[in-house]
Amino acid sequence: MKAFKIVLVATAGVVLVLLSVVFLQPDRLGFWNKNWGNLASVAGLVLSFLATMFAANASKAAGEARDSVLSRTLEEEITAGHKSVSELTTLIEIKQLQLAAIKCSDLLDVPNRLRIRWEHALETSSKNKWIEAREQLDSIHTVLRKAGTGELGAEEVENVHRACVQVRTVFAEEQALVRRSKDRGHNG
Amino acid sequence: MVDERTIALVEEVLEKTKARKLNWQATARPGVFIAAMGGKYMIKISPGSYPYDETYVLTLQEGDDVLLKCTAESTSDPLVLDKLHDLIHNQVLRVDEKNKSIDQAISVLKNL
Repeated sequence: MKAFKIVLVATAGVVLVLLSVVFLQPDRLGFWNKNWGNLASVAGLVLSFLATMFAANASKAAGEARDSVLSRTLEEEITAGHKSVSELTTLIEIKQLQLAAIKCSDLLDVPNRLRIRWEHALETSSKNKWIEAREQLDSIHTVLRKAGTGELGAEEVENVHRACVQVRTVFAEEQALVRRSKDRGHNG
Repeated sequence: MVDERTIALVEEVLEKTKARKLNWQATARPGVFIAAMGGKYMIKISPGSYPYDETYVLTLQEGDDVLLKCTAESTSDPLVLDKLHDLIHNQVLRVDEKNKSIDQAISVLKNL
């Protein structure tokens, strides 16, 4: 909008200058006849420059809008995953192992999906964390599946719980990173 | 059968583990440790598949694809994977640091 106003004001300015040059000259028709080509070139140059500037600004604004939408979607996906991992951790804590196995199965593909879908936006350290989260979930799922309807020993429960907390930490840290990057975008 | 790539991988993993450049993590499965690197690879060390097999298997994965599986037979030193597993186990569970703290506590007790 700001760029549009600049274009309008600049165009009006160019037109005014041209009109004044033409109409304030005593022998205006002679001047116009001699220089109309030069004046038209100057006016064209100014307008081309303004159009380029306007296009660049519009492109930048579109890029910012796109990044904002993408980061919001990434954050939403991570937030949903974090909620599910928290529920999984609770199910382990209250020893609802069959429900936990189902929840874990639903979550298994989330880290890979996030890592592959947002590959361009993620740092190597974040990708490493998603790979580790995927493997942790796989190990949790293996233990829960083996347990079936039976009970897990105290050490096994502790190992599974620790792995769940590690996965939850990955989701929480990655969520914080996306938010921080978004905050920097807004403040910078 | 000894394999050059396996030897190179094991040596590099051992060296980087000693230098604490790999972020090893314990998993929910006993004795299984993992470390991701380069944003696409994962190294996993786990106990052998057979009940009476006491050696370990080092696996290099890209996503779910297993790129390389190293066993004691495919390395030049049959005990290298045991050493690597012990090293990782001690690092992840901070065994050395805990032992140091225990020694300090014992010396405090002695001086009471």
